[in-house]
Amino acid sequence: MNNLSTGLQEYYRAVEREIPCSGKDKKRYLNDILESLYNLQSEQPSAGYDTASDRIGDPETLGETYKETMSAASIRKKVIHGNNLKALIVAIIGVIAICVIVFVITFIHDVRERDNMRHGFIITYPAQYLDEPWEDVIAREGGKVIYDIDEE
Amino acid sequence: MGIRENFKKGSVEMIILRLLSEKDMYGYEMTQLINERSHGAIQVPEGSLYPTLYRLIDNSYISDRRERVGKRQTRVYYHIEPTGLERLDEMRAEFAIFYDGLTGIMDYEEGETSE
Repeated sequence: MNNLSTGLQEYYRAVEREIPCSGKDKKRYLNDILESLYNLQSEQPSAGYDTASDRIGDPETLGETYKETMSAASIRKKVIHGNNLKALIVAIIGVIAICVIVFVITFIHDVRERDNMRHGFIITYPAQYLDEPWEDVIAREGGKVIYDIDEE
Repeated sequence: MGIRENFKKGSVEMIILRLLSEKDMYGYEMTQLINERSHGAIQVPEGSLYPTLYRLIDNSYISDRRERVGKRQTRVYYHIEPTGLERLDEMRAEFAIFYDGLTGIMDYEEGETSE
């Protein structure tokens, strides 16, 4: 902006003051105004505030036009954004609920499993001896008791 | 706000689409053509076009592209999309109906029978 003449810089600041709100839309608008000013200056090096007002528009009128045109669009955008946010929150709550349900089911299953194995062992021994009593197989072939609930 | 300003407000979108249906244009070029073709009756300064152009872009009726002109200048050219052409046809049809209706009201004379 420093490359612009004083009059055009003044004009830019006047437009900036007239544009309400902030954010992306304002930035986009002011960028386009700035570009228009650079183009004006390269076409008419002596252009000042009044020339800019004639060609680009009086800052006050631009502010009004901006408010009228952008307000409906911004409201629509905010509604869409709000809906997206709601959807995201619902999705997060859904995922958490599913995790809790899975955890509870797994926990209950685990408790039942432990209950079933109370006063017993978890042992490993070769599968080919499955038909024989496990005590005999362990005594003969060796095996491994990996979990003894009674010892807990 | 002046009476003409009120009429203009609702027409800028249609005017832009109409101009872009001829060829791709940049903002200042459009303001010049609007002024020229309306014999000065409709004047839309460049800065007033932008918000409407943004709305048209956001609705995918038009698209924009930057082109370097000369050493320092860049121009944003606007291009009408097929959906924009459809939108223009719709607007023209609606405008014709509205214009007929309005003319019927404004030119009505007593004793005239309405069909």
